[in-house]
Amino acid sequence: MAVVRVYKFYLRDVLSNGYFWFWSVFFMMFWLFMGAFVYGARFADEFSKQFPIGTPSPVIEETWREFTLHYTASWYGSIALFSMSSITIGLTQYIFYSTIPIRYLTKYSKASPLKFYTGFTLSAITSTVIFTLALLATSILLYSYKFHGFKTLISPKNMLGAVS
Amino acid sequence: MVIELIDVFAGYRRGDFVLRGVNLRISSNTIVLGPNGSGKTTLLRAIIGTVISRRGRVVIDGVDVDSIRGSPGLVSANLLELVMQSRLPVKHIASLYLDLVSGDYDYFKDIVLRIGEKSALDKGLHELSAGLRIVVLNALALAAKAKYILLDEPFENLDPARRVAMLSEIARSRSVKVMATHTTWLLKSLADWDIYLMVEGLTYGSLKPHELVELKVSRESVSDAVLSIKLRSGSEIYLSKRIGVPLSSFDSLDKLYEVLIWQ
Repeated sequence: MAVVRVYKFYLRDVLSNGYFWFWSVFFMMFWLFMGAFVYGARFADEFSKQFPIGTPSPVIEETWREFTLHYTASWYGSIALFSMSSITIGLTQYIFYSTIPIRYLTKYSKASPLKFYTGFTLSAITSTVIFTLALLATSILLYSYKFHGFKTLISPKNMLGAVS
Repeated sequence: MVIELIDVFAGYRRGDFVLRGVNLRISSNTIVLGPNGSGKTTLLRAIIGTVISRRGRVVIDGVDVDSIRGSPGLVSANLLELVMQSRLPVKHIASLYLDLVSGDYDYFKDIVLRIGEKSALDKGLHELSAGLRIVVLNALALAAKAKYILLDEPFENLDPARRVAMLSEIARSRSVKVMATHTTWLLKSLADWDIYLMVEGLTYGSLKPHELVELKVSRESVSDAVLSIKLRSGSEIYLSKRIGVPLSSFDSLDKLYEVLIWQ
């Protein structure tokens, strides 16, 4: 039960912490927006010019689909990495400043270090997955809108891989 | 069963000790009186087992403090550093903390509502005033229902009404309390408690409150002194029944600190 209590406590703590949401999600969403609407603003105009005249349009469309998928993936991959880094920095700070409480609790409570860190790690994984899913959904929506006007949804070929 | 400190040196930097060979045996309610920086908080940390650098032995109920693991209900304390760092409201922190130490959350809530404020439960610890924070920390220590409760300056920043209420709450607890403080107004309410004086990392005692008030303080050597306090400067202060200025003649026992920091 100690594992579950610690897990719930830290999950609630992270998910209700505005600093985590700002640095790990909203600031990252800003960069996803930049990737789609600023750095990728002229891709659609210039893309077809790269092909020789007479190239069949299904080929161009397929290539465009592949290009936008990979462009989105590269932004999502980078941003997810930065997001996880900022989450990890915050969680590391928790561990640093919890050294004495954990020492105290392992002596005078039901929680052993193993139980405490198991609960903490599980909460870290869960919160990271939640933040990552928020970024993944944002990536899909922003880039699908920008490059395909929602006619085609840019979605990962392997959802599990995108989250992990 | 007792808390026993045997030749304990403790501090925060290796070799630079705040406690300098403390020998103490605590089996009943105890007050550790001493000026700021005398080592009272370090003494409590040494008892809990959270000081970084330590020599000597701390034994709680026959078990070395370093060997204690998974013993809810043995020792609790009102030290802020023992509470998990979190921005969550106090009620969530207290709920987890008291669940882990097998404490009583309803009792905690009752103390906060009676002595503090209801709003304290819904705020983060960092949002509370210094007074409300000490109410919450005291309530956590008391509600842990531990056998030994260590209280570090439990009346600091409390208004006079809350001090009295908190004192009666502490006195009502059936646990063995160890209270480190520099306030002396409470001594007349705690007539059966043991008093230790703490000066420059060493403890002197024990005395009962009425015995302390009856003593006289002197810088001249007294052969049958009840307590002789040796300062780092080399000078000594003698508390005896025969020679010196009676502590009872002071406006307040707080004057004792002026004596203790004579250099």
